[in-house]
Amino acid sequence: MSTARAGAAPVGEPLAPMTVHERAIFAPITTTGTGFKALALGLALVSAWALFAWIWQLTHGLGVTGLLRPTYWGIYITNFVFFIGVSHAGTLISAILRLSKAEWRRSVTRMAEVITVLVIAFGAGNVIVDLGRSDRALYVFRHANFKSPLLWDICSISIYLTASTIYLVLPMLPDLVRLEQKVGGWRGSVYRALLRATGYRDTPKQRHRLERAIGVMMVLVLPIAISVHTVVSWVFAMTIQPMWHSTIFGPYFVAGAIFSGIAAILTFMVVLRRAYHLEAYLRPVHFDNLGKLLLVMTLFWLYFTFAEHLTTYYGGEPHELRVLFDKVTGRFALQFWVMVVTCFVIPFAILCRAKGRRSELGILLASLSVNFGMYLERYTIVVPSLTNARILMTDARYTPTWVEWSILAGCVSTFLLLYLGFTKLFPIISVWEVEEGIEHGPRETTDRLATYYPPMAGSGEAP
Amino acid sequence: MRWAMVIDLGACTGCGACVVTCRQENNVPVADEETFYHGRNLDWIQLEDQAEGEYENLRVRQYPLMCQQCDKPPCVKVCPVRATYRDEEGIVGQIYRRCIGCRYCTNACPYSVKTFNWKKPGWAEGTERRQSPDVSLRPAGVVEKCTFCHHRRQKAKEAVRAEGRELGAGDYEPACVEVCPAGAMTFGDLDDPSSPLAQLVQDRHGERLMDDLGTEPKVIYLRPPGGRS
Amino acid sequence: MSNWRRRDFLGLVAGSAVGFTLGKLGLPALLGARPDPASTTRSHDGLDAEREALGVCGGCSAGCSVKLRIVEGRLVGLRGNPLCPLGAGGLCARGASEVEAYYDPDRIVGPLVRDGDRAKDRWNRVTWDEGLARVSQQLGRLVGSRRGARVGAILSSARGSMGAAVERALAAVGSPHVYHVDALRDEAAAPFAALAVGADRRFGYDLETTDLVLSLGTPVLEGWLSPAYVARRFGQGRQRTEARLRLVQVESRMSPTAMRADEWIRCVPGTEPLLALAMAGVLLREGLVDASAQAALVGLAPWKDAAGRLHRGLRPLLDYAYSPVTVSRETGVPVVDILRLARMFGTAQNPVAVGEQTAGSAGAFGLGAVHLLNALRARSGSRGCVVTPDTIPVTALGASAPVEGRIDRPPIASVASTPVWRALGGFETEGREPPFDILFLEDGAAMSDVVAGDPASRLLGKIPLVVSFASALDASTAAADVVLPSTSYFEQALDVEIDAGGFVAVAAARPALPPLLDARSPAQVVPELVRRSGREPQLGTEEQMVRYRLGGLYRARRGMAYGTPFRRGWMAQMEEAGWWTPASISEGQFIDSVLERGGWVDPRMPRPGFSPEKPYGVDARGRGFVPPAKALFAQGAEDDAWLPHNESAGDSPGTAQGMLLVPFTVGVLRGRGSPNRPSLLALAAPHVRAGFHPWAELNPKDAKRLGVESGGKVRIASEHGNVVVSLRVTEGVRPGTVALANAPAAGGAGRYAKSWKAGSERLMAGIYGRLTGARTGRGMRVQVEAEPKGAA
Repeated sequence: MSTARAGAAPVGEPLAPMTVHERAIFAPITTTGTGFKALALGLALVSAWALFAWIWQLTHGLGVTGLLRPTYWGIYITNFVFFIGVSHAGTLISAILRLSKAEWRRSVTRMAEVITVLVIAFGAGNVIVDLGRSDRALYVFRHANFKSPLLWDICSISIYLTASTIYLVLPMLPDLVRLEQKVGGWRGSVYRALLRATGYRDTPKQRHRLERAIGVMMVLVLPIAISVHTVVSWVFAMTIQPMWHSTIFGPYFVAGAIFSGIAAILTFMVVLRRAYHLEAYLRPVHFDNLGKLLLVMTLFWLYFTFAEHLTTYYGGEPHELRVLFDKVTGRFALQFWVMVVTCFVIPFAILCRAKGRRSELGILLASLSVNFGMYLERYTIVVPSLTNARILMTDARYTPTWVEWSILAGCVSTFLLLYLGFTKLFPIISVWEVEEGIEHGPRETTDRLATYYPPMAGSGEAP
Repeated sequence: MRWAMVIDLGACTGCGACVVTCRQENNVPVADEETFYHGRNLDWIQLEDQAEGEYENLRVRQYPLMCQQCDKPPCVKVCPVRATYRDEEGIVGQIYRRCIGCRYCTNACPYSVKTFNWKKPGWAEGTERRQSPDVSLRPAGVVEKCTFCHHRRQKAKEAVRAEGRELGAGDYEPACVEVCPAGAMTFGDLDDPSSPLAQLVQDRHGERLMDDLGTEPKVIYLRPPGGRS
Repeated sequence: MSNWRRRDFLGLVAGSAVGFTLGKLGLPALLGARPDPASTTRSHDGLDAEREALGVCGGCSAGCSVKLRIVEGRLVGLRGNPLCPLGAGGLCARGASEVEAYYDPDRIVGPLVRDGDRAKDRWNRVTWDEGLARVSQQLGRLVGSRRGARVGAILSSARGSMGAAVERALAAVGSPHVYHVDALRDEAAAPFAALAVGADRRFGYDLETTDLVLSLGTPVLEGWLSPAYVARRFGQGRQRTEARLRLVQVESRMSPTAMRADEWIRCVPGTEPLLALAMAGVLLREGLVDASAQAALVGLAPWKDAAGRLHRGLRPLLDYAYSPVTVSRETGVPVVDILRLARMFGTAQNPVAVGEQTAGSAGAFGLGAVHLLNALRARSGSRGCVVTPDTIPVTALGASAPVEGRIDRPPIASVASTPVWRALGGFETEGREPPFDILFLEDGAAMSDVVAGDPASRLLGKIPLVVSFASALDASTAAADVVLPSTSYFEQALDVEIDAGGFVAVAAARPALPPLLDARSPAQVVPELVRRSGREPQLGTEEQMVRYRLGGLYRARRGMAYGTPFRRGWMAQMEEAGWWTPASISEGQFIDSVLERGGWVDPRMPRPGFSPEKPYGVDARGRGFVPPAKALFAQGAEDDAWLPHNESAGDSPGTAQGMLLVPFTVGVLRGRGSPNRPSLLALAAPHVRAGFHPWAELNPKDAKRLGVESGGKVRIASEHGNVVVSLRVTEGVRPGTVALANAPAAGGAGRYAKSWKAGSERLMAGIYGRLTGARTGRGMRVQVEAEPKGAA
């Protein structure tokens, strides 16, 4: 016979039949509707416009933005912090859920991990767009100054990206094996190439090693993820600027990141469920549980925000008060209070009721509201402190221009485009884990539960 | 040797000659009205003021503000490519060829004295003729700031080397110090206790801007005696 | 390759070596050729790539000597000349911006002739021949019909070689009409200094030893007198430990001068002279003035004139009309402060009171009140700061024009002259024909007293041919038919007479740079025009004129070329003892040394104190301080009207309501030369972050009442006109008043200065002091209202 690997379909031979779950989950890969094409085209147009805006900026200089002295950072750095924050969706959530052996995670981990891997690039990309000399971006490696928090940022984001990619690819390997057997065409060659590169054949020994590797990664990824957004926050907190130089920034940003990350997952869950008919796999319990997590994070967010602003107010340091009042009652009051409403009031109102948590519309509203509010939160952290510098240089206000908005829109559209591209190539739900859960889940869970309590009399086990 | 500057605010008339001369000396581009009102005027030195009170008891103190050449510069700490650095004579330099324009240093500076080239500096037709050959022109996208006229220091170093001696205080002074008609600015070596600069600091109890922040700036301001403002 | 033999190998190596050497050195070097000399001088390291030259700053009429740094023929830097008596190495901001102005991208490149009528803004570029011909045709016609006196020139430069050349040239066609307008001085100051101190137009303030400067509204530190000189004396005075200079600023607005004053006395705008009068009364009553001083000043006590009429005298007037209580009520200054200021003034070692204002005058009588203070103290233990230096003994280029032919303004014609524009406006209001058929204007600064819509500007519109020498488009070119652009001072051989600071000095220089554009100095252009019109002015080149004038200094056996303070000191001692050391060199060498060092100065001036033969307050003709001195006012008008008093702008009826207007000067924008200076336009007012266009300032209470914010626009209207300007809200403005920037001639058509339309001067059209005709504006009332956005 041929030297084909065990289970692999030789080229030219018909594809193996799919299981019930595979058919449902692989459907988006094999079929593409016109709606998808139209959406992709629209997103591509937005991305092309954003590319044009960036080229415009490269040729005309950063003066095409609304930035000025002393507000040297604006939309781009807000984007950077926001996107890095959203990236905490996948890795952190799936790692925590795997660690805590929450069985309901199985449908959710893949789509969350993809968010992470894709969105980090846009976070880092915004920093490059923000540079006055993007062509010199590689100097950070050539002339690295490790005393600078930006360098720490680069290191931790690189490590995070690497770790997240590994953490996405590893659990994808068993699915790739199935895909290769059951999906043909050009996609088949992609899967084959990837499998050949990794040498994964899904033998039991390899599967065992894989699960151990995933186990290692899910522990490793946690401190890396926490460090990433902590380090991002330290870019601000390590300066002495009023209302930036705050010790709470590390935990504040991490909590905010998890917050916006969960909201992002929820948004994607709602949309993907509808678009790809995954109702059977993304069930009300998933929304309920993640909704509860989001509720907890809303309360965390409120706590941190309140603590931050109250201590500033009570401390009464004049420069900080100037920033505080500009945020709360001054020129940034609109952004600030809309942020409070969208980050707390709306999500809390929806999510504190089970009915809200279990409804698609409620979850969608709450998650979109949170992401909008978190964007405003980043903005009101970055801009008011700079605008109220200790020495005021000008009365001019920072107003973002079309270039900055275009690039933000382009980041979002390109990210969505890449995500959608992913869903057309790889399953957005981890099939092998779902099938594993269905098969082995109840038994393992029962066994685990049994260890929580004293053994029943007569069962033969030692108390 | 640490270069420092003393500005006697009692003698300063606020004429602005230092601002205009610095611009010419260091090839700092001029702003037109739109740039000015957009807060994009590049100034290596400018007149800032602190005001307190209402009309009946108003006190305004106006002072020239330039890079304070801190001994513990917050901008140097945060530059990811070490494009801004403090040299052994206490001057905080800026390497234009290395700066990537991330503007972290402009945000870290509590005095807001670092400026950024938002676009390629425009020199209206014919005005490039007045560019001084001693100072490099900066491209778009890099940060710049006062360097205590380091090009004059270079020239002075070469001159004293030809004379076979070391650079001493009094061998050079920045353009602003030279042009001040009121003689309000003194420049010299802070580490030399016998220099006029050190004696001024001692006798007149100079103060530094925001020195509670720990930046240890080397521009020292003398209050007008009599305590007003 | 294995077939090679050693011979071949050696040949290969040797051949390569030779070829390599040849290639490196070049065949010409081997043939003994020398490097091309032209290529070494083109090198940037060549010895003649950089040079220093001296020049005279053209930013204002003070005449500071400056050092130019020229690299490869380009002007790249400017410093003060350390030997200059005014700045001693320092420069004011305007001087520092001369480099920028020299390379102004909107400078006029060559002669222009207007295309169409004056309302259009279209010009044709012509050659010098054509431009000169346009003017000389008209001039020739006038000369031919013996009406040469209908030519006039109004210059913004100080007196000097250029003015002398123009005077002589115009005298050759029979016209005495050459006038100088000084942007940095109050036009009314001169006549009242004449009355107060017996000085003619040339008087200055010697601030070297003053320990108290009492400024009654004068923007001492903002474009007054000679900014570099004032800054230098201020700095020195403040850094002294003995007799340290104190500045007391009496003003309603927190100006940059008030910011730096030791004391800021807040008074109702326009009432500053009242304070002077109250203080004078206190000085007299409290015996802070010697009896001898009082006796020397005519008119203090009641006196009888030749006709036997009894005149009241100033003292009783001070006592009953200007008592501290009355004045306190009018000015808003507490009585204790008035008494304290008076005592301060009375006990200071060498105080000086100044009242000149560059944003509209305080009025001649107001200035008289201020000079009264100086006169009282000058005879009473104080050295005196108001100095009347001797005339500079330069050789005159021609007979001075007869007084009768000038446009004059009796009744005090013999000591002073009304500002020329006021007089010209008088022609218009009286319905007379314009006195000129051709008018030369040096630049926009020469028109700083003209406002669109006032009589002078209407008259200007009726003059058939107006010629401007401006180097950039400004107010004068807007009014002109022909523009014959002038070279920069740095391109001219010139001398400028210095009168600020009480020096007897002349700044002089050779051309430092060749003309950048197709421009020529008026010192050459006007004589050339006269020549083409058929008369011979008998003038040589610029340098010849300068040398001729400076020769008079040598023949007067006075003074020295600019030198260090030590040199000045010992030269002064030598001169006092009767020795004049430059006698050992020839006149030519003396003049060369003057030109090489930047100028000439009489080291003995300013003279400390006044000798008994020439007492302060009494001039050579024995006229004393206080009018109505007998010779002056024969009409017997009411005493009070002619004694020092406070002139308010209450002359204009119907404006009893409204806010008080406080016009203030923008120091850096005052002066002469191109207005298109972005560095200065950005420096207009750092403390309110204003620049590039005029602005008004309101107190926050008033702003709230009117519903306007910083950055919004307001319309300010008086019965003479209105302006729309942007607003800054600041605590530095007295509630109930509105401050408005004043910088005439700051606007132009240049890319930077084009937004500077008229400021407060437009509102003050038509309000003139009675005695001198200088424009007053302080204390007038205006209506202020918010201007909606989007309105023009």
